[in-house]
Amino acid sequence: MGELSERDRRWAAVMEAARDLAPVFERRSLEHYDEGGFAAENIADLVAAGVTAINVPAALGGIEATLAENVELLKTVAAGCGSTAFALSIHTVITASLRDQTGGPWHEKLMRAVADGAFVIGPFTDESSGSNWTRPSTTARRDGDGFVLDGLKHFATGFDAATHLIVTAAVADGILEPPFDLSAFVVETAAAGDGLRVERPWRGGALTMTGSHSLRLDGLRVDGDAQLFPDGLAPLFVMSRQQWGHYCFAAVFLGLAERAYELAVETTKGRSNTAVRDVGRLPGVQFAIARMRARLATMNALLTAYATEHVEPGEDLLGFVADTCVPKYFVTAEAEAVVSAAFEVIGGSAIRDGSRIAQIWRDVKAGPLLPFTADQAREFIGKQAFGISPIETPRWM
Amino acid sequence: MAERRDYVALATELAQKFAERADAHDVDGTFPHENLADLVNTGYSAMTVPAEHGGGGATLEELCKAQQILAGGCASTAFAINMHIHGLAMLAAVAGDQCAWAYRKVVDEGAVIAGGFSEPGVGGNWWHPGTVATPVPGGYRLTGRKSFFTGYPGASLLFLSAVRPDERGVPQPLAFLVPKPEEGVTVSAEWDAAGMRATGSHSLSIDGMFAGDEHLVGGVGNLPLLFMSGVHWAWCSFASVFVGIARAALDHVVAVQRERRLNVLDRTVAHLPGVQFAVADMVTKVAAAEAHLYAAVRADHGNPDPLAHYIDMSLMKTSVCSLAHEVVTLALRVQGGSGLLRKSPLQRFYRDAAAGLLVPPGLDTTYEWAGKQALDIPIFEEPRWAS
Repeated sequence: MGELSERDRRWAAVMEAARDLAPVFERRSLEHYDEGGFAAENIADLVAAGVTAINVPAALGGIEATLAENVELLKTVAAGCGSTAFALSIHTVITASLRDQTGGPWHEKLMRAVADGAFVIGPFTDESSGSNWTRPSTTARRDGDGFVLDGLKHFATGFDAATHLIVTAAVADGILEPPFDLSAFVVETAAAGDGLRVERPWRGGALTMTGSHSLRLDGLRVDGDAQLFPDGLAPLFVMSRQQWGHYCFAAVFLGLAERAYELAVETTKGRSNTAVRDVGRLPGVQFAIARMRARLATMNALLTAYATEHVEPGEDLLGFVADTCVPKYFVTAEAEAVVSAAFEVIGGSAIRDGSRIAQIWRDVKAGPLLPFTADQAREFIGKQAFGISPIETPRWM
Repeated sequence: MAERRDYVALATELAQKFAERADAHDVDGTFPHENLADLVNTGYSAMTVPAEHGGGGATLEELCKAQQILAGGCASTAFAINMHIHGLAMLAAVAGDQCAWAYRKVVDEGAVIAGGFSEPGVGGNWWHPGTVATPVPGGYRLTGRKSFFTGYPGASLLFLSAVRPDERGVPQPLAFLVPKPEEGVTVSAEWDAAGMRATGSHSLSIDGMFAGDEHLVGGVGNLPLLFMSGVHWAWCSFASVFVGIARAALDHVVAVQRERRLNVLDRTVAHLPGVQFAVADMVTKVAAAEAHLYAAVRADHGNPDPLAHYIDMSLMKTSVCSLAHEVVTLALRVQGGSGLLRKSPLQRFYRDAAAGLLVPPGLDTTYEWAGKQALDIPIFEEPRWAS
């Protein structure tokens, strides 16, 4: 084997750090999952290990990790803690999406901040918007050379560690129609003041340690420079980066499923009870383990294929978005099936307090709910197959 | 014989022609001799003969991509020729120049191989054949029965397994590649099945068939090892045929619903949400099946542990074929009752894809082995399970 390049050596070090941290995160998860406090210590460890800087552009001295590398990293972290991996995925998706975006005054500044340890999050779900991120209820009102933001943002995953927020809002000047009135702004949390506050702290039934609070934006003023894209271009930008969100989210749930499988195997090996000397010799257990292996192999193959071969948007942007839904839809659903099977193999003890598999079982429930939800994915994929525009209205006859 | 090297393009061309003949062969249960002739005459059947022996030297990926497309035209034809092309590749991989005489027959004379590793009473346990090979001067006399001898009507070479008890009476499995003999083998039951009806997968009675020493592939007793080492050629190519059926079902369903109108709708059926959702599931499952198949195709096949390699490939085949079956089931659901009518290819796709669940490797054995391997339980230990 040839010598690794400097860049690859740095990447190998990041992956090694992630592999070392995963069991540490798992121990912390066992202690803190039920109380639901934010995994701040884990995020701090990831920052310290340089993991949060992987998407800094090479031109700024960063690793500029590929999509496939991001996927691999997130799977590794998820094996330790779903909440941590999911919070990290928001950051990696945003930083990777923005890294090759030039022009705005904030891009280089943000990337340099990430290189220095910034943690960026993006609450894109608004009050009453469902998962329709292109139709925010948050508004941006022009005010001199800046904007004033008002609204309620849910699922602000990772907020407690965030140095920066990417906030979406509809520009309320009546010039552009939805969805082209959508705009995105950078908000520095340290400078936000009273205009930004936690309205409702996160008490999640799954991914309990993500700190996915609901945030109130209350007359939050940002400079004009904080607008990331020119008017009307934000929806197109987000669509052209949909692969990052879909594949990175899928990676988190695949990592959880892989860990569930390992736990089922680890728990079964050498296990006995008063009736059976070796539980692993029961055919039902063997078959369940094998089915999990088969499912995981398919999930991994699909996600790897997409993260390496379905990366460039090309000419047909909506077709590309529909295509990126495929692994997200498949993997998040299959992850639930794998984790359920692992849960059954481990048996009644899985329900006892503090078991890791029970935590994973809860966490994987979030997969199909994340954007694109399973229904949105089916609509986009199905319409794309028939050559019907997924954004045409009315959506149904 | 035409020199053809782009086997995927060739498959695309032939698939269209075979699709027109598929229904008639399916209804009558006849073997598609004219398709086989096309495959021979165009050089498709020499695809996996090593290049140094005058063949195409196709890679596993080329083979699978071509077979996937061919199966979309006529799955029976694709499956019948699959026994030949993957068998040749496996022979080249495990026996090399030992089979040079057969490569020449394929390239120069258009010979076609049919393979028989299944037997009544053996189930999917191909490594325990019941056909007995008795040593005689110059070779062996074979006696036994074979089932599912796919491609037999068009074959001029037979690739089959047998067992020779050693001096302690321990059965030693072995394999032969022999020119189809004039005597010693008869068709005991013609193929008449619900799916893959045009494969000519007859049952054979083998009564003292002679196989010369030169027709022994590998050594005595090492059939399982040879087969496991080269199993990617078998299970990947099998899977490619069933993915091909699934993709054909998807393409057909999409094309039909785009034009289909019902009196109660002001637009085509393609605009119905339930139809879109089911097709989305089909698209997703086809993508997953293809991804798993081609990940296995591109995997490192030099695994020093043949059993581990065999298990990985077997898990892939079971997953891919299950997904393919789910896809054709969805296809019927989308199409509705008209998909069951004989004029619709969907009912044939459905019956053909069902065979994917049944062809080797068997699901239960795959799960048993994969589960035991993951749990560090010796796979061949007796008793097999805890009592």
